[in-house]
Amino acid sequence: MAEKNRKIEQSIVGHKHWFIEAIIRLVQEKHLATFGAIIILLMGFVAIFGDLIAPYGMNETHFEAVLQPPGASWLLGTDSLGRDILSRCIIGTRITLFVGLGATALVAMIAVSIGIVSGYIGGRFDIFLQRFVDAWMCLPPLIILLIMSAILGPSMLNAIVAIGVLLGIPDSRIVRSQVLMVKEEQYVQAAVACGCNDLQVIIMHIVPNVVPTAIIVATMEFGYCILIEATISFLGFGVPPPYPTWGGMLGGTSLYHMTSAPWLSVWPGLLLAAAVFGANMFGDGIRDILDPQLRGSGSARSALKAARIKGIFWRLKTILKKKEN
Amino acid sequence: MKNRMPGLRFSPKESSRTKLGREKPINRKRRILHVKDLKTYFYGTEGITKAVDGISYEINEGEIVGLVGESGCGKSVSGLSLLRLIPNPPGRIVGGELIFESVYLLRISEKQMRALRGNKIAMIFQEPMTSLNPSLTIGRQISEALELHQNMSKKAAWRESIRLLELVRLPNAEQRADDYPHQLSGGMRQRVMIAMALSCKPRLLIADEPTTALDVTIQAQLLEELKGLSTRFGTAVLLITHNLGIIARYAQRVNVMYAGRIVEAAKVEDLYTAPRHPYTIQLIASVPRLDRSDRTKLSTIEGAPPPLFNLPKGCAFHPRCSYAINKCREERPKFLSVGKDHYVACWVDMEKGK
Repeated sequence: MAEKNRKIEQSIVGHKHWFIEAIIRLVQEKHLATFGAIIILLMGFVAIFGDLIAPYGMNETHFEAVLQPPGASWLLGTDSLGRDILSRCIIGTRITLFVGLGATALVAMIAVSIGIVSGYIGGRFDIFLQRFVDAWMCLPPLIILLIMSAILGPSMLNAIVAIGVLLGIPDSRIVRSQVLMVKEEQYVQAAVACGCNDLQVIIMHIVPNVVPTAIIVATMEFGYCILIEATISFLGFGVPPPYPTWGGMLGGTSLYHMTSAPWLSVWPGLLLAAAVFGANMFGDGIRDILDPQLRGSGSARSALKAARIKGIFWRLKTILKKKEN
Repeated sequence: MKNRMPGLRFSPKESSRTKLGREKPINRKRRILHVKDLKTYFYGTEGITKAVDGISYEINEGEIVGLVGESGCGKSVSGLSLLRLIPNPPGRIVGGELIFESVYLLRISEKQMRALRGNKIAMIFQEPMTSLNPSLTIGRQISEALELHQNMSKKAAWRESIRLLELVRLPNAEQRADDYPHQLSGGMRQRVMIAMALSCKPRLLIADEPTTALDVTIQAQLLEELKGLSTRFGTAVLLITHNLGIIARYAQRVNVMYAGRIVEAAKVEDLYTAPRHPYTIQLIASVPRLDRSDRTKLSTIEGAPPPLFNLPKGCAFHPRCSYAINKCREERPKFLSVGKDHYVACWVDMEKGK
């Protein structure tokens, strides 16, 4: 018993910071989540060193080799302009991850700021703000996204803003509920009794206790952000050409060669699936470790999210069918 | 344990810089806090809850004054009222006067009040388990108040917080300052809370059941510590508790509260040797005693305290009082002197005395 206690003590003292401790626990306990994290890290590596790895330039056209199937010289084949799919996928990783990360950061920022303001101030202000959030959640996400993309115009930054706002506002609910809980803790009262004003209480006591929640929100939405980016790129509102994105590669001319040259859409589709799978697994693992209490309600939330993703796929399918007709 | 009080210098001449609401200087013992007819009500759906209904007392420099009573008699609310921390919407301080070192606390602005909180008036909360932020190291949390009120740099505040942790005799203070609250035991956490409360050398310390959540040996250690610090630095302490034993040992004067009012106020010796209010008498009788070997049943006070939103007419204690006379049911007893520094609010005792 004593030894066990000492072990616990050592493990606590050994890795002081909760963040490092969480990562160690993730690797030790959550193998699937670690696998997801490895996928994401690999993609991050590919994104950073893409120029060195890619065998061809992203916009290098080889008209002598149009629509080549995967083979020795074109590992993943070529598209209708004779561009190497592998190179485009590699460069596309960069944009996908950049938009994904940027949008995720924006989601976390918007969720945290709205959640804290709404939860901490409370009262009538909270009620009004939450009705706005309600209204926002009622609107179909794809419609909001298309409207925002149409207004902002196609660019990488606009895609980030559109995704960030779309997801950040509903996610402020999660942060708000955490703030409501922390606000009633005695240490907050103790801080007020210490002479802290509201801003100091928020910075010193509310924010540090909301950070794990924000991390959970961010990791859980990361996969969704990538997916939405692909969706709007597919629909032509995302990052404009000539930059390759997975979503853009799925759409465009690939649609006309679905049956004759399926590799045009299979590879980016597989990559997208891998990225979303990795992000979701990592997100779930991190959530289980950072907030075990959320696990129960989390499953309901994942179900909801799965339904949301299914909905998007269903919409994609119908769009595809229409285009084919 | 050499050099146990570094950095803590209390000058008795130090007075509040606030210009507002000055009172005439007092010649007698230096008075830190004067509570005059304080009334804190909560406006709920069942009606007005008179949690604190006109209580008055004083606390002098270096003195520990006890505030005892059953659960729900308004002890904690009266403590929070001193810091103006009553949650408003439901609650409000509706009357009375709080004079802290010649500052009228109920008349100054919220900003001026914030400058006093933690700085001149500090508070120790009941639950050491929940009074510390789990996501910050304890050193950081003590530094917070120092940076806030003493304009210390981060480094100086950190050094000072380690000194404070040594002052409250937290073992291995230097290493412990880097710990998170979950790594400390309850007693250690309460030591941290005391260090935090003492960080700005307050003139008044409100200790709201500081040891209720701790076991008896730790209780004694901490209260000894608190008493030592109080006499050494001249800090006035308001000790809120329901434990009569603690009061007997550590306080100099006691106020007994019942249903939002003070029913008896006396020096500790007088209260325990010659209690005058029937409630106090029964309260003391209900304490188990080691020096009595008779195997009699422990006496209890019949009934339960009345709901504060629906107090009985007259004396609030009369439904449970065996001495009650007709006058008790009709008129609220006056708070009158029955001896030197001994005040009682009871008709029966008055009648007997006459």
